[in-house]
Amino acid sequence: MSVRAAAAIGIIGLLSGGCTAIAVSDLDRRIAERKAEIRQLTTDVLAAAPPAFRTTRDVEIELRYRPLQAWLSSVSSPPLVIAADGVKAAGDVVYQGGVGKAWLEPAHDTRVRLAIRDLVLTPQAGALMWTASAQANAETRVRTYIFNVGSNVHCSGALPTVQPRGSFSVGQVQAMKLPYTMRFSIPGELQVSVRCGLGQLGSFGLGFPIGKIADSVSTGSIDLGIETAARIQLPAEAGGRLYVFRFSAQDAVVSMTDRALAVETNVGVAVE
Amino acid sequence: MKLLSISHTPAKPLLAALLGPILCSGCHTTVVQQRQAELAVLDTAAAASSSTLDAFRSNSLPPDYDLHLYIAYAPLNKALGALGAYQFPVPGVDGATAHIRALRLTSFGTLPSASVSASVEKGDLKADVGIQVVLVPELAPDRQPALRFKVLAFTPVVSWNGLEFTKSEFVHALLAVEVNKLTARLPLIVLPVSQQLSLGGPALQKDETISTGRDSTLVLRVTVPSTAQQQQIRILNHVFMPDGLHLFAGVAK
Repeated sequence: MSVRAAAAIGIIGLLSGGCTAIAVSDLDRRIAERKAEIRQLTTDVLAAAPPAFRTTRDVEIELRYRPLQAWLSSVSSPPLVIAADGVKAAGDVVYQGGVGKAWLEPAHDTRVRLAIRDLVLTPQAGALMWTASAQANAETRVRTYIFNVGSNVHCSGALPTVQPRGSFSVGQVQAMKLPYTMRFSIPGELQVSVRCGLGQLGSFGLGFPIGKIADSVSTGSIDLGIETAARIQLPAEAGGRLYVFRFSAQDAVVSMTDRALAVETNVGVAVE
Repeated sequence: MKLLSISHTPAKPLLAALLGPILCSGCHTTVVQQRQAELAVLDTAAAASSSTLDAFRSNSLPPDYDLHLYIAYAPLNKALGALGAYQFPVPGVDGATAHIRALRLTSFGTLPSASVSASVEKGDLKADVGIQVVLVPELAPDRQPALRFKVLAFTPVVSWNGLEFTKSEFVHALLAVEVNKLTARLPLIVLPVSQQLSLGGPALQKDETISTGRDSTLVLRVTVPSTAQQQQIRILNHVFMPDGLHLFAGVAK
């Protein structure tokens, strides 16, 4: 390479280097401007964000009551029937010395049915309540032994339509689900009664306490739409390995407003 | 951005040593390409942030929804942090291997992005690469929602002089890599979002003993029917914010 050629290369290099420096400088200026613009936009976005977008925890969930109401409507139409069937009776229900006695037999002839329909959520701030319409009926068979003569009598009774109320009792978030129990609150002492005429033994009445038979309408869980695991899949070209990361709720806070059930939680992440 | 020169021994070391001082001023770098790639992402970020701001100001967000889920990037980054390094062949560059050392979700305004620590190696040639990435949600109704890393630019961080022909060839090959092929070589994050909402509980059976007068009792077997039901979650809309992803869904049987 001649000295002249080397000098030419050097000059070209200097010139092109100079052009590159100008281009980089211009790009750096535009990058700085864009970054400043984005910082301002970020500030503006956060200021203009509606409440749903103002978050403080790792995972936040808002489940509005429409799906819950749809579920309740579905499970109570046709009516949700809670059944109580006798399996074992012990002792005499009536005893009069010199006259006779009466007892329930067979046990499985005693049946109570509570039909719940029109379950409706009645949310309030801080509590999730429900109302319904309910009917109950009961029947039993009483065997008598009066003056050495055995007999039996079938008795039945019904409760007119009542409007029970209750609440959802929710527990702590478990596996990203919210356990609940739907309990009756009003009327607490409701009974469905049967009354049997037992001849010389008089009249026998038996009340089946609804609150004891059906202390809960339903016990289960409410999905929160979040699962307990995230997965990261490497592409086949990179080995194709699937990583599973277990998510667990930490310090979850459950709240109820007049329109939604909300859960806010941080999450622990563990490699499975 | 860290600038590394390639650690390749020049083919003609004596000549390079002699001409180095002259040719130094003619050193080539990929700085312009790096800056252009960075600026392109920032332009996209500014547009995305403006769009989000407009939506907020016009009250078009959030949409009407049954279920709102927010997942911050922080727990996803904990998962990505445990991923470890991995490698794959660079598509279209024979013998070159890309090494992904770390991935981390981040954000430019409301544009979801990722910082990627990566390098490329081919024989004795080794260089860091700047990979400009945005996150793209995959919200097919029959699959769990996922986030894919979409590569917008792939720029080796290299300087070389006019005599380093092998390096020059390597750099140009890397600059010509099709970014959509690289997209397929980055991991897919399957979000912990359910496709169904389970409500209710199983049928229950329990025995209750009631008093029936005098000393008599009756054991009743109480059966509460199942109230379990599943409803489908259908993602209606997604909104990226600087710290995480919001999903808005409808829920129906």
